[in-house]
Amino acid sequence: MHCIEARGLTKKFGNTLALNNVDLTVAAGRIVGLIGPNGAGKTTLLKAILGLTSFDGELTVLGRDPRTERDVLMRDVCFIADVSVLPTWLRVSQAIDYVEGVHPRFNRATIDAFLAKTSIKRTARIGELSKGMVTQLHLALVMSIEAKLMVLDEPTLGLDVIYRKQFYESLLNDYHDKARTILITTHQIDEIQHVLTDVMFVDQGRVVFSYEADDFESHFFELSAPPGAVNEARALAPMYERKSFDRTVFLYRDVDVETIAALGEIRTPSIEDVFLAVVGNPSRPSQGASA
Amino acid sequence: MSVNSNVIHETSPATTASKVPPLRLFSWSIRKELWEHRAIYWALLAVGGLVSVGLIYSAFRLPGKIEYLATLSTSERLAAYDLPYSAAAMILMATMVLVACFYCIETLYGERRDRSILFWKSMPVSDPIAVLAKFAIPTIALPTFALCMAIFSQLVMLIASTLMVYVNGLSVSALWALLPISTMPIGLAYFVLAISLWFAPVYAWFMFVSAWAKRATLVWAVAPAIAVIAIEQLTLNTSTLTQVIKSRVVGVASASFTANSDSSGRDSRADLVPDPGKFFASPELWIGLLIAAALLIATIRMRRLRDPI
Repeated sequence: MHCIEARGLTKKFGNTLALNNVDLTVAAGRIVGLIGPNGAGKTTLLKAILGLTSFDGELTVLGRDPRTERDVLMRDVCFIADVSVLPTWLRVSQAIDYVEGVHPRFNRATIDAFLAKTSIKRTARIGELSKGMVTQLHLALVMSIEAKLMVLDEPTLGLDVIYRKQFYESLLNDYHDKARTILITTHQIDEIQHVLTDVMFVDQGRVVFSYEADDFESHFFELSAPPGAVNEARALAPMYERKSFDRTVFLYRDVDVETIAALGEIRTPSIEDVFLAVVGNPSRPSQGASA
Repeated sequence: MSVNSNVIHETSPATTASKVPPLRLFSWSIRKELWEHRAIYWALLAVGGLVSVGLIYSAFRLPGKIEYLATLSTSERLAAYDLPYSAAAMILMATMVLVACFYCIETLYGERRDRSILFWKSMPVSDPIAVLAKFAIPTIALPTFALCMAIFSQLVMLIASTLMVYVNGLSVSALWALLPISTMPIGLAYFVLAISLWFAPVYAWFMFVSAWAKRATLVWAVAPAIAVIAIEQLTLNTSTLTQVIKSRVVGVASASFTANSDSSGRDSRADLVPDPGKFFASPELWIGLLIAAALLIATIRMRRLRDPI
């Protein structure tokens, strides 16, 4: 059984389609990055998966329907839906006691180790902590839940670069194992690129495109062509092109490497380049709002 | 769209983490409510403290009044001795209901407003457990606490007046004979229970508004009642619904107690005596409880579906 399976997932807010007939399958053990512009539907998709919002279509998460079995599902899931949701009146020690009290997969030793690396006082109320500390605490809480599925929506918002790096390292080294699935959205694509096993681009309520991180280098190429080779390069159906000084940069997916190598310099594009090509390309046929 | 399926691990519901007993989830949910709403017991503590001070003051004045009290008829005398005790209890009960109403209006709205509902919902606590734990605050936790405060302040009064009477060389046994020492706590406990049951639909309505309204919860909570009264008075010229609302707000004592007709006898301790037979046979009580149940179900649904504000 897959960790997440969705068929025809649709969610409307008034006249806006936040999710437009999304089909999605995520196998267990993957670390999936959901990447897309603001308002693409990433958060709505995560909320549907977590049972936080109603929707049309079929969706099973760990074999359960999140709409009706959220509480049972949450025994095996941990998530951060928003970094600033820990209540200000709660004390750090109370937050830990509460999660330990209600969550069957919580491990107190883990959070003790996490908090030892921070300057968070256990007697403090969350309202007295800085924004970054609240995020650290929330991350520590979910990292101490030995869940089957972890969902993180912009988890590192407001954290400095050192802590962000530490967090992703510990996510990968300490938390992740082959049985755990992680679903993550972020705007800082470059920081999670090396962590992900899969990347999904979301735009206008659809998963427009997805690939495995391992396949990335063998599927995507960027060609920097001199003016004389532009027409030839264009004929090979690039996903995207842009001018860079006197050269033209083309982005290809699944193209014969030797053919394009003859036209100019080739290199592996970054996820951001591919993201811009897929999501930011105006020539791409519109797939969302028309349906 | 398929994201790699060559690493498939079994994730069937059969391997779901073991269930935390519902009672444990419930008790942690209540604990969390008490952490959040510290004001509810501080308010009762403060009022209970003030009441106790007032009672001690009245105890100090007791020896000077004993001669005057002796001139009264038996029933008047009993009522006069009883008065500070029941007044103290009434003040605490009124505070309790007021605090409970504010709690109900705030609780589900507050967690949506500060978005903490997203954190609570990340825990394996179902919406029914969360809502019922919240409902237990005004119907169980607060009444228990108020009852303890009332009994405590009455004990303070009893000790203070006994001391005063003793120091002034008057008869302690005469004083005790005049006080309903054994029946008062029982009557109080019954009254507290009656309040919880009687106000259950009011609390449930406020909780529903709290879970449903996007703003102005207090207005939504009371405006419908005012509107019903206004419309009935202006257009229908009747007072049936007005009476229903009025009796719900101020009628708990008359629904659960009966005026003491035998006012001359030795046993006439108070003007009102508990009448559970009447109370538990009254259709008003049971209709109210049914409405409360329906509103709680609606509240649970709202908590499941409503987005944070």
